[in-house]
Amino acid sequence: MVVTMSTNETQLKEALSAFIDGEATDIEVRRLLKEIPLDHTLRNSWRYHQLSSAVINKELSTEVIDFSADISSAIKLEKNHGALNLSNYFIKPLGRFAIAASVATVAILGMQQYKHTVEHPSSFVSANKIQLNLASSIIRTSAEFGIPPISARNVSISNFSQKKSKSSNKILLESRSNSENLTREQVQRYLNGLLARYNETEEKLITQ
Amino acid sequence: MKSDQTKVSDDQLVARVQKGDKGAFDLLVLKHQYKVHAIISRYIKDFDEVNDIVQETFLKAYRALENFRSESAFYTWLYRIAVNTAKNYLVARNRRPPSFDIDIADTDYSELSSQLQNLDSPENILAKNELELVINSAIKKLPGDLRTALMLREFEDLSYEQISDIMECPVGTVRSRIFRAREALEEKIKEMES
Repeated sequence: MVVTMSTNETQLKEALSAFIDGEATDIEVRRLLKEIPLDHTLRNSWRYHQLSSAVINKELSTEVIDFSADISSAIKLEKNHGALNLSNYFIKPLGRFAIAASVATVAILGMQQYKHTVEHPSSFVSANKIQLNLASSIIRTSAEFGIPPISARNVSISNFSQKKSKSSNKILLESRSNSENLTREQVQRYLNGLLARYNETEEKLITQ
Repeated sequence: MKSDQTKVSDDQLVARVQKGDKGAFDLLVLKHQYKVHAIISRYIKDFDEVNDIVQETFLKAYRALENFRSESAFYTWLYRIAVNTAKNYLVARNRRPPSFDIDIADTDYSELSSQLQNLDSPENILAKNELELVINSAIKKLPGDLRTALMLREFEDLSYEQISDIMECPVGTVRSRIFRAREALEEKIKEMES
């Protein structure tokens, strides 16, 4: 009895032969890679063609052994690459998102703080302003807070008026010339530091 | 050794493996196992040891494939793993590996002896000499155009387009001739196995 291949089988086997030579179309390759695991005949054809090629090119050892079954069994115990890797597709993006979200939150809070300060300078509490309690025998200076020393030139009295509140002996000192710049600079410096740390962490995650 | 044409199908299979398709790695094993076996056999003579190292080579290759980038050809990369695995095996057993690396192009075996005359040989082991006789005989019996197309592809590593220029026929005809030549050889191998 002569067994003939169907046209479909013939086309598939011809596509397989072309695939060996890197000449199959993308559609053919996709179809082959889908069919071969299910079709023992197709898989055997692949094996026979490789064997013929090895004979023609004199690339055989003294023994001609098919290791594929044993190797396939061993590979089954190994983890899958790529798409099924939980770390690549879930944890790492989540980590990156968390870092991005925290940086954005700090930036927003920082800008809100800055904006609030600009709108309500009298309530601004920063290292630029020092509260002096004249009743105290100890006068704390700006140098203690790491701020450039203020001179008589840039000392000014804030909106606070002594007339309005006689009971208060507190005088707010601020460096008039640089108060707004310093505030903006401080916020900017802080944000830059955050972004630098974020980039560092991102790089570490990518290279893991 | 085949280069560009082989690289295309290897790259496609490697990409599939990297996306989680273990079946694609099976095809890579079927494609390269004979050559890997030949390379390792030049370092190690013991039959069982060679078989173990072949399997270890492919296992290592699978594990490292996630980080493989197609800057070099897959087979070149696999060949390096095979050589290193064989050398490490020899060093671990206090045997000195050869001071030179064996070129993959230099795997021509001219030995006539075969360990496979034993009737108790496993089913998956073929006698190399008998196989070569069968294949070479089948190639000689091929129609001229099929033989020419196959040889230009296998020996000269020409693309289908290049072969079609030489043979002055359409690319589709080249593809069909190479396929039919391979089918004829496949039938002979099947007869031998059965």
